[in-house]
Amino acid sequence: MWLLTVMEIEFTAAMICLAADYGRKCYAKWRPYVVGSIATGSLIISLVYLLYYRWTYNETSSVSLRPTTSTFASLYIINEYTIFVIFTAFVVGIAVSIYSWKYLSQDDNVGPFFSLLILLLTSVVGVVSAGDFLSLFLFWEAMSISAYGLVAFYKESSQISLEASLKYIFLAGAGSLLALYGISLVYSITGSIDLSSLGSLLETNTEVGVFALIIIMLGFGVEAAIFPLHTWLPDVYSAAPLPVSAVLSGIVTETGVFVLLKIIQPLSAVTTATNVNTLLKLSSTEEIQGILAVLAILTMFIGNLGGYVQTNVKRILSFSSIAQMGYMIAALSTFSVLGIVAVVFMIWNHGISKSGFFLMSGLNGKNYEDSELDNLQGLGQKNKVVGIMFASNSLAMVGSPPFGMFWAELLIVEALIAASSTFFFAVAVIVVLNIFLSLGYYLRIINRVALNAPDRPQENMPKSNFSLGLLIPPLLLIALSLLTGIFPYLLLDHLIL
Amino acid sequence: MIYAAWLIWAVPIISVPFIPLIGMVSQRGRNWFAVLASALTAFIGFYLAASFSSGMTESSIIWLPIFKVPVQVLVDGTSVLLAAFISFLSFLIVLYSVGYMKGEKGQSRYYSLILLFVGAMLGLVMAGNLIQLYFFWEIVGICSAFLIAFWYDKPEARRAGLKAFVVTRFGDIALFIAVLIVLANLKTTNYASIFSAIGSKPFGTNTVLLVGILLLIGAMGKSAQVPLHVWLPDAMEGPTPVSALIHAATMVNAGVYLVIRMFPLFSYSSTLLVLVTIVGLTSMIFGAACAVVSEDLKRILAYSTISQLGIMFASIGVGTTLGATATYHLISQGLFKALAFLAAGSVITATGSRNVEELGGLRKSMKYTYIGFLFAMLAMSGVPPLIGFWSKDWIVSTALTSNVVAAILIALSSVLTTIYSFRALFKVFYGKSKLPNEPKESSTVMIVPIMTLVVSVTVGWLVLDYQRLVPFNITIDPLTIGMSLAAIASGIGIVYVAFSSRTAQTQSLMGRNAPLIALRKYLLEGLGFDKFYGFLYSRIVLPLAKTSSYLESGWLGVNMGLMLASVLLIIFLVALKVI
Repeated sequence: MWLLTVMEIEFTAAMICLAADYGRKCYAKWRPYVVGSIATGSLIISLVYLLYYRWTYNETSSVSLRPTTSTFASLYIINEYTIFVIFTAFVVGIAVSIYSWKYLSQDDNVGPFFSLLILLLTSVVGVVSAGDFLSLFLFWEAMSISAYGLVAFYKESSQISLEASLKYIFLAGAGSLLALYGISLVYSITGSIDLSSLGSLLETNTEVGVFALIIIMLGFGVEAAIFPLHTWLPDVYSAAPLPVSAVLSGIVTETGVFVLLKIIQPLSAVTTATNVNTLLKLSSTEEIQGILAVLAILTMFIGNLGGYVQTNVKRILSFSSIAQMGYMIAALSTFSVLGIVAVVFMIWNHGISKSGFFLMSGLNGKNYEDSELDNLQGLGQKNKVVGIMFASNSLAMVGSPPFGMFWAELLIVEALIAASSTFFFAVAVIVVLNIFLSLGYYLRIINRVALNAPDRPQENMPKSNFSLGLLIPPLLLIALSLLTGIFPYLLLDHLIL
Repeated sequence: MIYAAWLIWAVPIISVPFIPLIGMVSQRGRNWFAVLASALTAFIGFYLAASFSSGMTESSIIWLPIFKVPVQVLVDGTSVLLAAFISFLSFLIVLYSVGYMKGEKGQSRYYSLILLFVGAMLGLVMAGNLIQLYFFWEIVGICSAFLIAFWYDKPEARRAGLKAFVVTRFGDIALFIAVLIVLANLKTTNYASIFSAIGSKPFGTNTVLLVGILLLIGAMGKSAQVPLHVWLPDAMEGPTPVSALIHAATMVNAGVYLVIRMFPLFSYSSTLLVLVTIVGLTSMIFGAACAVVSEDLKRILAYSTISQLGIMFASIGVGTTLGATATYHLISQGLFKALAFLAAGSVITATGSRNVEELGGLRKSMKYTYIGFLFAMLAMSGVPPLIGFWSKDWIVSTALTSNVVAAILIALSSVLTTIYSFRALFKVFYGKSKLPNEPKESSTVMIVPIMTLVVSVTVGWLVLDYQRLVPFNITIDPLTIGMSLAAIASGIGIVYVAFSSRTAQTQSLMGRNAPLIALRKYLLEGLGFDKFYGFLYSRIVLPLAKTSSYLESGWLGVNMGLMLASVLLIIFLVALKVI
């Protein structure tokens, strides 16, 4: 029951964070550090516990838990993919919470921030490991609510972030409702809320079954930013505080994709397949595959083309996130084990690289909020390390070796080509062209931020203010990405079923 | 012996992080550490070549577990010969850099990138499978782009670096798809397994053709073949040693190496070989024509590189010698082109100008540089018995037996080669000096590599004849020698007539011949491909991007409306039983 222990640790830590916030008289100046280290410490403990569990866990198939005595009694499925995504969530969470120590040092509401952050991550753990629709939906809602709170959590609670949060509530809320409707349809057909019951969904009542599946996918797809439902993402990411954007792009959006994966997995009955290219399809899945692939193509084009006209690094990164969700959904649409492995590996790489990029996108040496390209121009000449970080993160995002994203994109394209159909080969070519297209805006970031001289004369530049507390977490994430790129087998060894 | 094949690329890569660290303590120490690391690499290269006995592949860790793709090194004649050549040349050029880069800012960045490049390039050559090759293929591209943009204060340098990155990346994505098709069909990208599978079921004729075309596009991007050549002339914004090492002698040859390595695949289909020949011949002629009119000393050499690489592609496409002619010309071109660039760099440091119209009469004041450039140009034109003569005339001889058209075109292109070589030589080193003050000869660290290369260009063919890694059995038709001597003579004659007249300026030579002037303008613009790519970006990508941004209205109502509409659409489709 390690999973439940982890959740209980985290919920306790969230309460302690809130309580510790009241000690503001005793340690006024150190409050962010005290509360922050409680949060970070709890995340580190959970990560270590997770790794310990992985170390002692020798079974190759997935494990189902149905505890009856715990607070969180429900069905959970734990397999390689789940552990991998939870691992990603904790790593990103630790980096973000360390970053927030310094980031929130001027802020008043430290306790609620860390508390919400931990609740968000715990809900992600719940969503990822959920084995039935009940726990899935409950944790999903908990995750969304924490995210709404965090988005609106701006220092001066500005109008923009409130508006973004409201937009997020409306769209994600509508998405949840759609998903709930779909879930109730599934229950009415199969009489079960287990995710594995989806396998028999298409056997009895195909039309309603397909409809229910599409509705569920659309509902959860709001968070994954699938094409017609992606419109909230750039506004929310660019209005949220930097650590929150990092968590949203690094974990929450990926969780949306992972939920799609969880829904697809029983459909394709892939868990029993030993050959990575085996496609054990049921009869009616081809339509869903087609719809997903077409939506994925539209999503990646919208994302990559949108990046060209933006002038704000955070917005560019948001559009690039949309595009990368597109790649993942394309790989998912093959319904193959290889596609699923590719998506999970992409979740790790996208999670660490994109959140690392978000964390430093506002470091213009003056304050942490301004990520307009004009104001970031010439950073590389002011501080070499920051310049190198921007350049290497951009290279990582376009999938250049020796960064981990290269292998993830390789696996995605490989999954599409290995599906050995002309349609998926065309999708693969489109994905590769899109990766090429994303060069346009990332090279602009390299050009202006890392290489170019500052726009304004040097004497008018504000004194650089790159504190180590804000630089180390993104550096750590870049180092992880580099490590994944050079030694991909260290992680991929854990992903074969 | 096999461990040397691992060490040769591991040594430069491992020494990269030490460069900035030593740089914090001592600038001189850092420079000589880089020289030492490259010298060690060159030593390993020679050791590898000397102790080579038979071809083998050694695998290490499983790099990509899903497909069991290992990290492996391939030791065979071609890879060992090229590794020795690359490590030797990079040692000379790192040594030269110590003099050339003296007093520049950001030398730690320079040496780190150069050493990373050397390691990745050697890794590319020694790689035992396509995935590993692609991995290093991309890293050399990144190093090249950032080294072109080394002087990032100059907007042209930044632009050139990013342009090189984008254009070569376009080729790379084709290669990427090719590699992944091979992986998907064969579950391995090991060279030997690919060759044994050619023609059988999962890797039939059509797949081979597709993979071959994609590989060729990848090779064209890296080796700057028309129409993906636009980055190479601009790449001359980088420091000259970088141009010599990366954009003349090693990285641009990676495309040729790929085609040589994959020769069994290319030779499976005659269509592919014809395509390779056409690509090569086209680039050969256009590159040479552009080099004739260019006024920038380094751009002349860059266009000449495009042309020479074209000859290599054509010689592979002619296809009678399993790519051995191309290997020979690759080494020969690498030596004389590196020599030409190093001499040109010496001229540029001494005079501060790259424009051939502004230079002149440097023969007396820069004697060693003159000798270096002279030998480079003689070798490039194919004057016997320098190395260029052997490589080019061998190509023409083998082509004569199988593809007479190609042979004649290559021989004819020697006329152009001679013209641009001697034009550059005359303009820079002869005539009257147009500089305000007498330039000084460069320092010893720069002259030593130049003189070493002069010796290599002169006696290199003996060494290549002696070595047994790749047995070149050069046979040259007497007819070929006659043809090439005639070509050289006519080329020198044309240049001599043109420059002995008083009107040495190219513009005045043309007179008022309108078509000639138009042709010159067209060639100076690099065939107008830049304009075409600019058009693609500004007329297609940008308008599409602007259109797509209309979807981002930011209005909640519109967003909700889109969502509702998509749900309704699906209900509608389901109700109509479309899906």
